[in-house]
Amino acid sequence: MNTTKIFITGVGIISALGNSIEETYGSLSAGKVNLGTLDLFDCNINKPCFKAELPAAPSSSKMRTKELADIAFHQAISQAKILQQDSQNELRIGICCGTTVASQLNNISFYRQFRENRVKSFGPVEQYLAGNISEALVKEHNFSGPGLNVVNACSSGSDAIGIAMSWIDQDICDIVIAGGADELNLVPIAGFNSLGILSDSACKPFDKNRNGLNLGEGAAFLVLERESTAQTRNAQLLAECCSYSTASDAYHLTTPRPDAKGLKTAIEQSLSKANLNIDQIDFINAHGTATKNNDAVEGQLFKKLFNKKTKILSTKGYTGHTLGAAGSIDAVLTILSLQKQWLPKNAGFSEQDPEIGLTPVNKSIDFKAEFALSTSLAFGGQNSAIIFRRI
Amino acid sequence: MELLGKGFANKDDKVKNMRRADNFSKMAVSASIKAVTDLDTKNKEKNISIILATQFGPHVTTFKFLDNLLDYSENSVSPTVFSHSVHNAAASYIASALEIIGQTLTITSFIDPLKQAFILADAWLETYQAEKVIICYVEEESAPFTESQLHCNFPSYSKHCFTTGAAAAVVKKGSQIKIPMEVTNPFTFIEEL
Repeated sequence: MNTTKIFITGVGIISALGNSIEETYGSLSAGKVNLGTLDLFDCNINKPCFKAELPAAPSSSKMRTKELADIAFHQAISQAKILQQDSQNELRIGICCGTTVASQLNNISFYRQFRENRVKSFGPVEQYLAGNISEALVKEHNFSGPGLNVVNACSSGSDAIGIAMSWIDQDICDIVIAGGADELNLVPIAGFNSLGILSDSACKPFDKNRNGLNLGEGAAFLVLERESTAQTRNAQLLAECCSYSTASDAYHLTTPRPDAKGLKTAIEQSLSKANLNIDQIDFINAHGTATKNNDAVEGQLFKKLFNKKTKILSTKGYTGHTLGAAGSIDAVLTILSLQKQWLPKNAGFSEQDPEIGLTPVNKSIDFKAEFALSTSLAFGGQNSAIIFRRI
Repeated sequence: MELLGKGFANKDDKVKNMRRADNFSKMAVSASIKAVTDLDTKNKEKNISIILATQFGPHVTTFKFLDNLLDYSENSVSPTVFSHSVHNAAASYIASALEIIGQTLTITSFIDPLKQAFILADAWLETYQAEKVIICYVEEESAPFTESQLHCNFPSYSKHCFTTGAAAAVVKKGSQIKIPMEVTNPFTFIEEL
């Protein structure tokens, strides 16, 4: 069981749903699905995607992922009342960020020039070196805590929150700003396309006729701290981050384990750490990418493990799969639902898959919820689960 | 923390059942297998976690994927190369090879990733989230990075890491290992544990 109670005192988010928590809630309430065509760079792969609209013209010197991260990060620290002087006083503030794209030097133009022995500028390498999001943010804000990037593929955003909890629990940090960020980029688009898991239309999580995922981009950050730290700073508690657990499938590089053993372990351990039983989970914000394999594994386990009272939904039909940001975007949306006591419908769902036997939330609902579970699955057989409590 | 075993690998190491894997993953698995020689990972010891730390990750494989994009087309790239270019592929291979079902984490930092891995391992051991942790450090040199070093402002720590190899240590709770303020050379640090 967790001994340290950890709370969320600030959240920030940018995705296809909007550039703030208010815009995100507005879009979700209106049931907006902002799916569009890819226009960020030349690409012959004609698959729809969820693009975030940056409020200002993109900077040529900054990676797009870092721009997305900056927006969500500043919203989160602003809500949590983390001031410039906090970085100069005795508070140990750390940053942990999940990403996939920002961890790779994948600038095609630079690489083409390098191959042809005619590099004009090493700017893209400098940009990459400055693009380790956590290290850059720690440096920019003069924080004294650690800055670490988590590169656990699609569960990175959740795992960053888990690391943040460990840092606070072990008194390595007083405050941790944890989250994830990823941009739409040709490498994952071509890669996911080669795996045959990109949908030609709007994705349909848990639906019988689901045919793949839509890639998306965005960022989300959460400010985590002990209640005592928050009280001292006069920061408002938004939700409790009750527990985090993760387990490996040890099965396959790209396919989730069919018996969902790793995911089951992660969920059971997170329940145990939070001292909860399975009936106390009011809703699950599932990974739910709308691929055949992911939704079958998740859905069948949920059906077996949880009772009918527990609502299940995926928000990927609104945001797309934002890779390293997905876990943290899901976490922010989970907290939003707990605060509003409201769930959006599982966009894209219309027909139950008999192989899963589960109907997710198929219309938006007001309801009383105290505890919610957010799950993330990733390449490499990673399964992570986080439980949040309403304040 | 207390050391239970350590292992090292280079790009020439051969690993069974990993024909399709890239060198980055092969080195990570080889070093980890050597490090866990005395552990019974497949039967009794289930509460083992993995932390893979790296500065630059499998960028040789990323460049191979970019070769695919440039030489063929966006529609005919190799899914195998793509899946190996994902940073956590190596940790996934370690988990599969050793049948480890605990936590599996891959972290990057340009400043001091191995130190961060040890700090996190210590936190997991102290809070009983793991009984043992395999910490694996991997880097791979490549022409673009070697050339870029001459023109770009790489963090000073990086200068120790332009090499190809993997080093792994298995640790449990104890007081033998003290985490230093800075791990100047990750390979030497594990060697001298």
